[in-house]
Amino acid sequence: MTDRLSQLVGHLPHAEPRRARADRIRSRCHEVLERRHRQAAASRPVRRIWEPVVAGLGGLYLLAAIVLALEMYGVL
Amino acid sequence: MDRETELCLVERLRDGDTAAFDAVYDELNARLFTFLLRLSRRRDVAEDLLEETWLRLVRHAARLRPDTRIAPWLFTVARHLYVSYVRSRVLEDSASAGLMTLWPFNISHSSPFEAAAASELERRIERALASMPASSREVLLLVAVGGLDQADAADVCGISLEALRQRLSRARALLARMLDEDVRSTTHVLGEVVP
Repeated sequence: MTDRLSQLVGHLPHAEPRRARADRIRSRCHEVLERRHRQAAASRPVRRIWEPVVAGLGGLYLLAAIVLALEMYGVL
Repeated sequence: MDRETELCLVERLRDGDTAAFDAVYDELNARLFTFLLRLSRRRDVAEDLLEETWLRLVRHAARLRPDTRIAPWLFTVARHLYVSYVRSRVLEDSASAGLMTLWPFNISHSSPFEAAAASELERRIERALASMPASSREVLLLVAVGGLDQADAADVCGISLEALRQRLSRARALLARMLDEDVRSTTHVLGEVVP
């Protein structure tokens, strides 16, 4: 009985939002996706330049810290 | 939608592919809307929550995990939005008059008699669903209408699988009892009218 009821609930007809509303939802979502896609594409060249620069500066800082530490302990 | 297709769609959604969005939208929109409509019992509310659910997906698309399972993700968001809505509006649980605005749906049946019988049964189920407590209604809807398996439905509700099974079992029993009472009250009324 209860399994049959679940099946009956599952077979109840699906509802649809009003056509105009459904179209509005789709177009708003497209807008968001397209805007994000454009932003991601625009930020890609900047990231291509800045990421190696930041990594290089970080590496130099680390190297300087190691050299300083070695000098303090008289190794260098 | 098989898993391979779903993973591919997630990957494309992460890249902002509108065609991938359309594929997901076409696949899940009716199920999601039906879930929200039967949960909220108000078309305007269901449409607002539906729109917000889809907007959350696209705003979050770039941060989706590659192994995201889209249907449970969307139903979780939809349910959270509905819970937030209820909390903010203190929705009265007994108002079921708006339910009949769900009709008519396009259903094809083999004969007018069968159509009438099926339609009557569906109306009874809709009425019973509408008057169930929200916690029972949502588990039934997630499994039966949303098509989620029990583990996914448990995740969506934020409860253990065992708790979900118990809730589902109670919901089915309650629905059966309500339908039974509905039939008995109809028979009683008929008995008073027909000599």
